[in-house]
Amino acid sequence: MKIITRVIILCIIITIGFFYFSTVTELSSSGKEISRLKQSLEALETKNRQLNVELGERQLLTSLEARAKNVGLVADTKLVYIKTPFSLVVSRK
Amino acid sequence: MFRRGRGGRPYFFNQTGVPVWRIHILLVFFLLSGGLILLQLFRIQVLKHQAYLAQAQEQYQIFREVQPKRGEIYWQDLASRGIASLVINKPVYNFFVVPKLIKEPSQTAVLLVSIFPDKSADILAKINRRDDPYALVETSLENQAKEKISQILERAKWPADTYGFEEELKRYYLENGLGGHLTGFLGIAADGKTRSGQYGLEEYYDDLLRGQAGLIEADKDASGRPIAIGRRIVKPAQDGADIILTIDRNIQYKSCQALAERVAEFQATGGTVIVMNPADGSIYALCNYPTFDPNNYQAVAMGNFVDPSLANSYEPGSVFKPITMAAAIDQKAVTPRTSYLDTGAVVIDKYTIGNAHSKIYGQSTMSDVLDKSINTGAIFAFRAVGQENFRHYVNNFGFGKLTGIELAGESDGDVHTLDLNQEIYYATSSFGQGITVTPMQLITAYAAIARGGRLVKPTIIKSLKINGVLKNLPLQEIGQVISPETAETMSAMLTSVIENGFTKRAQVPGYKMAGKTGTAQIPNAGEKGYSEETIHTFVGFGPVGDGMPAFVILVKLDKPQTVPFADSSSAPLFAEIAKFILDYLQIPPQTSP
Repeated sequence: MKIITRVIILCIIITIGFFYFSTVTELSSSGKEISRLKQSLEALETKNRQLNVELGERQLLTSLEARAKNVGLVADTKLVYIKTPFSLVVSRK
Repeated sequence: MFRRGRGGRPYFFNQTGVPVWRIHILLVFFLLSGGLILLQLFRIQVLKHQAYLAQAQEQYQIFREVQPKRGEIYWQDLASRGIASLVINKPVYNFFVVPKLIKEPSQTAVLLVSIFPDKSADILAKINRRDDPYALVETSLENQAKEKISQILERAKWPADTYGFEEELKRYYLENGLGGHLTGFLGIAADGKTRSGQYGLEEYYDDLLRGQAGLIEADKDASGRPIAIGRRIVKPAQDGADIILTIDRNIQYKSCQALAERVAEFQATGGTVIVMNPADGSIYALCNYPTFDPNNYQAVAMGNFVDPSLANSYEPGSVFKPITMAAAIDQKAVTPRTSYLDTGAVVIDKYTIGNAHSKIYGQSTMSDVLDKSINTGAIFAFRAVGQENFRHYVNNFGFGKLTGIELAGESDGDVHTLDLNQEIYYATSSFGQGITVTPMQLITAYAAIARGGRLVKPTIIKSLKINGVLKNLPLQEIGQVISPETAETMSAMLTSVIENGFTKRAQVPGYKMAGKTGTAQIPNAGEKGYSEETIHTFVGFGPVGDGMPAFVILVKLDKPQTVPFADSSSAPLFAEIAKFILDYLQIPPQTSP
């Protein structure tokens, strides 16, 4: 009887230990995964900020104007408004 | 010699014969030792409690203040019906090395000097501090520079733990000088350490843009990294609000460009252009020349940071006459056809007030007064209203008060002469002398005429994005200053000024425009009288006719040298900007051009 009790207690301890270690291991690997994802998120946020700067710089009016001139575009100052049955359409002369 | 103890033994021997004094000494020793330990424990646990607690926490805990992201500023792009960035946070990098981990300092120094040749002395000094765990080599590196340095160091097989880059967010003002007065800049606060918004929007909305810092408190592992499953208290940072302006970047660009060109052409010392949408008081463009680049504010003299369109009040001259006329018509004291005999001068007390160039116009109507900008006619209109009523209207139009626009440094102008109850001050005020106004007050008053007599608070804020929630700012009408009928009459009279008066150069073919020039003399500083220098102003709106005009434009040129009157300087600039806006907003012509 005593042996059976000891065996049961031992089994319980082993089971609890097993669950404890597996939980800790799982949590630890989850923690590492969270850290990795966090680093990845930070890197993506940085990249996003850099792209935001690049977008802003590419949309600069001075830069757009210079690029338009480079490809031979000129300012259109003569607009013609055409009346259609349902609306008014603006076109370029 | 010694007292006897029990059993006749000397007192200093116990029953086993061991001398009692030795036990006593031992007892005293233990008592003293215990006392010292207690004292030390008291010192450590009570007196030094906080210090040791902090030291222990330092070893196993991380306390990190999380800085919030400063809110960004956007402006309109009506052409694409979207918004574009105006002020953003640009990531820049500080490059540092770890001297105590560098094994070959001389080779390292050679490589670093080849990357940063202008910092050779500094690099050598820093690398030779062999126990130093951190030496900052270069600050505010752009991303491309950072990438380039990383590649060089990787190619040279530098150990990754001997150097690093720290990211920092730098305030970045796109379009450089296009909105310097508008945005202000992020400078150093009075304490010399913290950053704070200065001038313009950055100052006005500093608290909102700044956000609130957060905190991370967590257990850390041996290498100093937070333990993901450990104890952790996170109070997230609250990022600053984003601001979306009513300013349209294309109208702003055109206005600023045209202003700079005309300032150069007329050899003026500076100028201002404001474009307002009278429907809701929103500002489409707010431009000053000279301006400054907020990215490089350190290179600019402090006096140039002040926005002259808000802070610098001036005597407006004849551009103020429509205000006098609106008061007289609203009081039904005159009509556009009311006539009087102009003799070229009006005598009030000991003062004689004449027309410009001493002209005499004879029998003139109120329409003529505006068309030909007759000073004596403005006095006639003011007298028809009466002093008390005139002052009432001047105040109601918003002169002498802040407009409340969301920019730092606004001035309220000076109309205190109207409180002096002397007719001469009222008479000069009627044609814009002896009182001072700001360009923003002036355009707001004209906008009231354009929008049926209702004064509206000018605004440059379309919406605020606070914690991700977009909040549109409502229209703020201040009150009905003149009746809708008076406003309509005034619009017609101001249209006549451009079509029949001296201001034909403000015309835009195919469209009816309304407006008035003002060529104001500049008072002598600290003396009586006026100098020969002038300020040329034009305020106008259009198209006049069906419904609310699409825009109100104020153009002001300071001390132009090559032209004598505003009809040759600010009026054509008005027409140029108006034409651009009409095309840009695709407003069809009212008549065949």
